[in-house]
Amino acid sequence: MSSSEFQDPAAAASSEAQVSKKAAKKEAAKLEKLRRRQEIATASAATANLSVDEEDPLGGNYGDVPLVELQSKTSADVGEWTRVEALGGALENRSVLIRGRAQAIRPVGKKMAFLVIRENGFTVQCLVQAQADTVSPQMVKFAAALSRESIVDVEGVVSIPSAPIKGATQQVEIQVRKLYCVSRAVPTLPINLEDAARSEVEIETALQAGEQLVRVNQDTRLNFRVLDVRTPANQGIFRIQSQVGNAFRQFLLSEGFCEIHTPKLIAGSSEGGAAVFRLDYKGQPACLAQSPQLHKQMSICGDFGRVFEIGPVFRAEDSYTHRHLCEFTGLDVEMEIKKHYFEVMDIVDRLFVAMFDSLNQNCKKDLEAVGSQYPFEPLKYLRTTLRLTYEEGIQMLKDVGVEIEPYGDLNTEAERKLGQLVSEKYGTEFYILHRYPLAVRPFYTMPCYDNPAYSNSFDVFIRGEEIISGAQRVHVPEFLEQRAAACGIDVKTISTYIDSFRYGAPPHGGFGVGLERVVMLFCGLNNIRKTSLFPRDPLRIAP
Amino acid sequence: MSPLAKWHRSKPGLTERFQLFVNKRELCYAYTELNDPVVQRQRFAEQLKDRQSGDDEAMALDETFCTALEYGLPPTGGWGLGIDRFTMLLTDSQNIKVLLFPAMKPQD
Repeated sequence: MSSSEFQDPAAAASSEAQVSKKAAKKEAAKLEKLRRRQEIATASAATANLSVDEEDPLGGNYGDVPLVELQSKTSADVGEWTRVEALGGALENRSVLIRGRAQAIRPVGKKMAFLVIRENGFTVQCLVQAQADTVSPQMVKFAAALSRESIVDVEGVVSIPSAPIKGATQQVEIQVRKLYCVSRAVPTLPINLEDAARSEVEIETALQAGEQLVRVNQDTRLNFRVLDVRTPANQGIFRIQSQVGNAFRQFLLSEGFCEIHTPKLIAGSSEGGAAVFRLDYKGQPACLAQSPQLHKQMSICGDFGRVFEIGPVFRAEDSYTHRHLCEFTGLDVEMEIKKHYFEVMDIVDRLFVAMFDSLNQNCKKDLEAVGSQYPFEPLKYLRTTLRLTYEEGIQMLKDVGVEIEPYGDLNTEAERKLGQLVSEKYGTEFYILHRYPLAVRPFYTMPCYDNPAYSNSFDVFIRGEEIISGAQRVHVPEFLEQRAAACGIDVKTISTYIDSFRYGAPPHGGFGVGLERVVMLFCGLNNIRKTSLFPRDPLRIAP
Repeated sequence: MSPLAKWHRSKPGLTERFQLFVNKRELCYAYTELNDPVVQRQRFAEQLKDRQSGDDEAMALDETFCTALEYGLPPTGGWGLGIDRFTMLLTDSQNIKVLLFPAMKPQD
């Protein structure tokens, strides 16, 4: 029912007058589209009703659930439900009630239909078989007419078939007695889950056997993300990601860090680059933060001692690579230093070893699900993380003929090559490279005491790709102004930041981690969009 | 007024939504989520009309969201809690400055 039915007629007339002609036309087009969709929905509902309307004394055992039944009509008692995951031999001959998605629908003649019902990745085979006084042929017809990915309630008796069930995780079958559709999906989905869940290996194998199987491209997946994330691999990826965030938080809390939440609307860019999203902030120019860098340092100046944040980071870079996004989740850490920037690296070392251990122990099922579609080797890491200086890394590259310009940054190819060399020589795919040239680090980075051309900074790599940048920070305001000016930063836009060091500032350092990159590289995936639930890159701002 | 909330089962003009108040302050806002794509589009269309009539709080049409409903959405509900407001309650603070770095309107 429409709220406009209860509008005051005079107010309605007045509001109509205010709508501009163009907007009215646009709205009319939308309403026409809406009317057409409604027409189709009504027609298909009528078709469904038609089969139900045949005289069936057992008609109450199946059908579409009317909306009124889904409006929290009964009390909040879910004890009568059984999770698909819990279905097993112990429930033989028991009646159970489950809710899930109709993943597969296979009619066998007119008196039998098989359904595979999926809930949280677990699947069970259900048999709708016509039987006198119990299951009508119309009910079988209703089952066969369901659309895939619709949400259904199934009530039935658990039985144990003589042969193993290949197409489901649960090795029992449900003899269906009641079947209701809770939420009907459209008959033709834009992508099939079976196709989206297919591995390259399967596609290649089929191709060699002369069969062409559908491959779903990454862009198509992202266009229909709400369907794509239902695959086992995608469910696995985002549960692993959840665990990365959890391990990060638990470890840092145990080391005395305090979680903070800093603003993303800031006055000037914090990293010295031009790649910021600009906006008007109530008449003032503003931009979206490229990192919480300045605010986490101000928090150290505010005597929090050790802080961390999990939050969005924005980079307006026109980077179309496999590992860049315009918006991603930053895992950021900042802490006081007593003597040496290695104190920060010590945290990185223990944090990530604990995280990898946690993932390997707690996410076995999810890792297997990812590996089934995107096969990968488990990450090799050491109990104590390898540390190399930038110069040591450059030398390793030189030894195999790769030249890096003196004091230059490493490009993606060089980093990947160095990753290979490190893996071969030291047996690890997770390592720290430190003492980078000052010229390739942000303005707030502390130079080395013994050679100011280098800096107390580090990057961390997984499988030859960077996941972390970190450093000791400049905490002396005059020196900070100097460094900012040298890097071409307008000091006025960061005055509140610099001033925060004038009231007593401890030596400190920290690092920033890309959450999506950690998951991408830990699972050996080839595209960061696979580990971003709704990615934002230079070409995508939807869904 | 609540475009994403499901209408009330028996009282026309209302939706199924609640808010939690503690010590006179709103902490939590929740509703039964609408899962019918046809009605959702209708609801967004009404919001669009409200917006064009000057209601700044009306929500823009989200076609992607309506399309997602067509691929099957189970009955769903949820709530959102403002942790800054919750911190105010726990510390008996009188304003929102429990934020670490609150964004204030410019002085001029």
